[in-house]
This record gives sequence, structure tokens and C-alpha cells, in this order.
Amino acid sequence: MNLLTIAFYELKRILRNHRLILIVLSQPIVISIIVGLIVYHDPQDIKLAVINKHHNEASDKLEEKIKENNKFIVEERDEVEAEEVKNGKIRGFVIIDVADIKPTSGKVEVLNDPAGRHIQYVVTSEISKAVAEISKEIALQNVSKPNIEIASSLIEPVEYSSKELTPFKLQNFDYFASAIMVLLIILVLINLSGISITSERASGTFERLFVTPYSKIDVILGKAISLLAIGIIIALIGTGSLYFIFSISIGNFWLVMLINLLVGATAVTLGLLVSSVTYSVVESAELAMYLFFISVITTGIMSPIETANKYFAYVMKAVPFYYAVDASRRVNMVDAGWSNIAINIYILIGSFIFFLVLSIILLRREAR
Amino acid sequence: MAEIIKVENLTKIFNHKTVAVSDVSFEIEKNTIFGLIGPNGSGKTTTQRMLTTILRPTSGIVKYKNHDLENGNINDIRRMIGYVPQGESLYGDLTVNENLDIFSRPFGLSNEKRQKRFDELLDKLKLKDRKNDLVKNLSGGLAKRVSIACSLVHEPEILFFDEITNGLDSSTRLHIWQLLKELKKTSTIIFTTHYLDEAENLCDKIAIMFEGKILELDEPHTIIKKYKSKNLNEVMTQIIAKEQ
Repeated sequence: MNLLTIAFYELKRILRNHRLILIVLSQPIVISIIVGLIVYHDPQDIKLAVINKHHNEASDKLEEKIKENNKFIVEERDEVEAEEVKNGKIRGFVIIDVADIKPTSGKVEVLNDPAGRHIQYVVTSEISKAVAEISKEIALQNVSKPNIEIASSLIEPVEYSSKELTPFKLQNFDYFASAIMVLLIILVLINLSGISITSERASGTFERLFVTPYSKIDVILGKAISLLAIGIIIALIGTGSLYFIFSISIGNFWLVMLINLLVGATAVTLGLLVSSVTYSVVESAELAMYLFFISVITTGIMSPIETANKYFAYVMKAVPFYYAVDASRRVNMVDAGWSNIAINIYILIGSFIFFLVLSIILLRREAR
Repeated sequence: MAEIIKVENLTKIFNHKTVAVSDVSFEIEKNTIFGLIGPNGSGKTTTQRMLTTILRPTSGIVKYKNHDLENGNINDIRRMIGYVPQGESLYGDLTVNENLDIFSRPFGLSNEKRQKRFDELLDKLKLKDRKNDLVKNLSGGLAKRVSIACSLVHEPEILFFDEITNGLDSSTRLHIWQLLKELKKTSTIIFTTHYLDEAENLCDKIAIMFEGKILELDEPHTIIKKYKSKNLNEVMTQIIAKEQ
């Protein structure tokens, strides 16, 4: 019962601080909207410069094809101007070097802006698709009508296609939305819990509590319960904003909430651990932010685990939030069920218990 | 008079090297005021923190009536004691009543009894009109009274005060002195202070600490006489000069 008293008053203190509540509750809405608007759709209006060296039928067709693609804004140039890439005005040059001889032959070269990595993939894939289509069209023009069917199969004997294995109609933002959902909870709770013990230490209430029969377990669990209640509200607001504003794909709602609940529990106990090992509010806030950024990077939101150094990939897999983002993405993007993410759930439960026990042990050491 | 606290060879060493309290022994009799005095870093606060169960002693024995700090049930000891820390040590964003509630709940009093005690204490400490005010909106003197009230709800037999009058104006100090004299009728009081006039006026017995050791342990006027001084201030000046 003692822990419920702590939980009740902790929650009351948080709810009574209207400015804090405004900051905390506006975070999931504002951050979701900002990220949602930044990662709103696939890259569009990419500025490309086309250098059509020979202006013949084939090269003009290809230039026209590139111009028709609504992902690009195409300008014509006579030669490569590296300065334009350095100035950030052009994302790449497409050099069409197709000579006007029969049979048609030549090459297309794309010079990409290395500063736009995500855009590079789109440019390369779209231009190669256009080149393949035009090549096939030109090749078929050189074949007499009765042989078109045979020629077609000779020109493209193996057809390539790819699609996403999901029952959902996904947008570019869905990949980020699942991670944002998790990270928002970590951001708010690790900060709130990170300073909860140090602020009590500074005000002296902590010392007074421990001259009463309240135990350290009562205090830690009581704080965890109240902060988790805040975490559930954040999760609902965050998921709600992403769903209603950006129509993100949501898998099994209860699984999503279970993941969010466990993320909240783990973030709160990690924050309490931060608070247990630091001695001032500034130290706690700094360490909490430090751990938050490590969590962001290691969850794979910036780059997938496949790009990591093979030894560091093990480190990423040792961070519990990696499993939270992974589970969230699989539930929301591939419609994964309980059996598909059970291991992730167990890892999150294990991490929560580990951080909880460690914070209690470290707090006990204070009396030594 | 019966002793309520017996301390034998109490020692506290931090990080295996810093000796904060060294081999301290004393007894405190029931319904008396015992003062721990000394300059900063003398070990008085560490001693008090060990007696209030906040810090674990490195060695030595502390007995509270029938309870032993080392082997006894710590919660039984905590039920016997009330503690008023140096600062306000209250939740500023909770009301006076809520602070009384959070600090008294773990003592297991019935709701009815607790409420009765709240009313008594609020009345006694002249806080009745402010019971629904947030503590952060109270003056330093009022907040100190709330702090004292919080330590009295469970009617402890032993009360610890850490620099209780620190930073208070003279009228509030006098009010607290009166209160301590009144509380002495029902409880034993142990307090630390650096106001030596306060120790001289209030304490039945004092321990003068210096560098973790007790140099003098007696009634204030006996110590003053021993040092052929007019007051404790002069005694302290002599002690510091001799030790340095």
C-alpha cells in the first residue's frame, strides 16, 4: 500500500504542474506532426540536369521519359557544372551519350550528389528503369513486325518485379512512424524519471522519506507506476496523432499498446537508474539525454542494422529499445502477431526487471 | 532517569578512508534535550544521520530502548523516531495537509486517528488556516512549522532536529524554542546546531564534537565552568584553538 501512496502523490505532483503537463503532453503531438511533415512522402521534385549529347531520336525519347517522371524537375545543360552540386542547386547530372547510328548504341551515366544519399537511390533506380524501357523500345523498333514477340522475349528473357510483403498500403512515413511512437515514450519518460530521484535528493524529501517505514522498493515502484501512467497517456496521444493526422498503418492495436507499455516501463526504470547514480538534477538530465540519443541511434531509425559494423551490431542488439522499434515496425508494417514478436516482448520485460532491480540495489547503497 | 538511546563506539568511515565519526559513545536520557554541537565537518550531522537510520554505521552499537540498530527491525526503530531535516524537505507542490498525509501514511495509523492528529498538530502549530495551501507558497517560518508537524504525526518518542533554526528570523527562532521545550514533555529531543546560545539555553546535555570525536560531553553549564568561560562561544573558541 505504501507504494500506492507514493504513486498517487507523485502523479498528483506531476498533474499539478500545468506547465510541465503542457510540455509533456504536447511533445507527442508536435514531434509527430513535425516528423510526419518532414518524412511526408517519397522523394519528389528532385532537381536533375540532363546533358543530351547528341539530340537524336533515341536520346530525346529518353530525355522525355525522364522529364515525364514526376519525381524529377529536369533542366537541360551542355556540360557538367560541379559547382551546381556544391551549391546544392542540382542533385545530379544525367549524361545521355547515345549516338545516332544504326543499330543504336551508347551509354547513360548518372553523376549523383553524395550529400543526398536517400535521393541517390531514387535517382539511380528511376533512371535505370527509364533506360531499360527506352532500350527495349528502341530494340523492338529494329525488329520486323512478325518477329516482335520472339524478339521481345530475347531482349528481356527474365522479367524483374518487386513488391512489399504486407497486407497494408504503406507510405514512406510508416517506416519512421513506428519508431517515432517508441522514441516519443522514451524521450518523455527517461527525462521525467531521470530527475525524479535527484530532485527529491536536492529538496531533502528523499532523506525524510527514508526515516519513515517507506522502503526503497516502495519509492522506486511508486514512482515507476505514476510515470508509467503518464507514459500510457503519451503513447495514446502519440499513436493517435500519427494515426489521425497521417493515417499511418497500425497493426494489432493491443500488441502496439503492449509494446508501448513495455517501452514505457523500461524507459522509466532506466531513468530511475540514471537518477540513482547521479547526484544533481543537471547530471541526471545530461545523462538521460545522453542515453536517449544512444537509444535513438541504436534502434536503427537512422540506418538499418545491416549497415552497422559487425561487432557494433551486437551492441545494438544489446539495447532493449532496438527490440521495441523492431517489434513496433513488424506489427505495424508487416501485421506481425504475438508469436512473431514474443522474443522482443520477453527481452523488454527482462530489461525492465533488470533496470528496476539495479536501481533498487544502487539506491540501497546510499545508506552505506 | 532511564536512557532512551545508548551509543557505543560509533564509527563512520566513508570510502574506506575518510573518518567522519570516530569511536563515539554517549547515552541520552528520556525527556531531555541533547545537543550535538561543533564546527562544520566535526561529524555531528553524520552522527545524527546514523542515529536516524539514514546512514549505516561502519562499526559500533546504537540502542533505542529495546531495539538494536544493527540487529533490530529498522521499521520498529523508524516508528519510534521523528526527523526534521535542515531544509524544508517538503513537497512544495503538495498542500500542507497532503504533506502530512504522505509522511504519515507508512506508520499504519487508522485514517480516523491520522486525521485527528492532523487537526491537533495544525492547531498547535497555528497552521489550520493554511492547511490547503501549497507549501511552496508558505514563508520559511511557516514551512518549518509544517516540517515539524510532519515529523510529529505518529507521536514519536525520539525527535531529531538538524539545524532547525537555521536561516529563521529571531521571532520564529523563539517560537521554535518554545515548541521544543513543550515537546520535551512527551519526547526526547536530539538536535544539531551551530547557534551556541541555542544549545546553552535549550539543552540538558551537549556533546561538543571536533574532527569526528566527542571532546566534551556534559551539561552546558558544567562545560562552561570547566573551561572557566562565560558561555559556550568562548568554550568553542578555546577548543578550536587548542585542537588546531
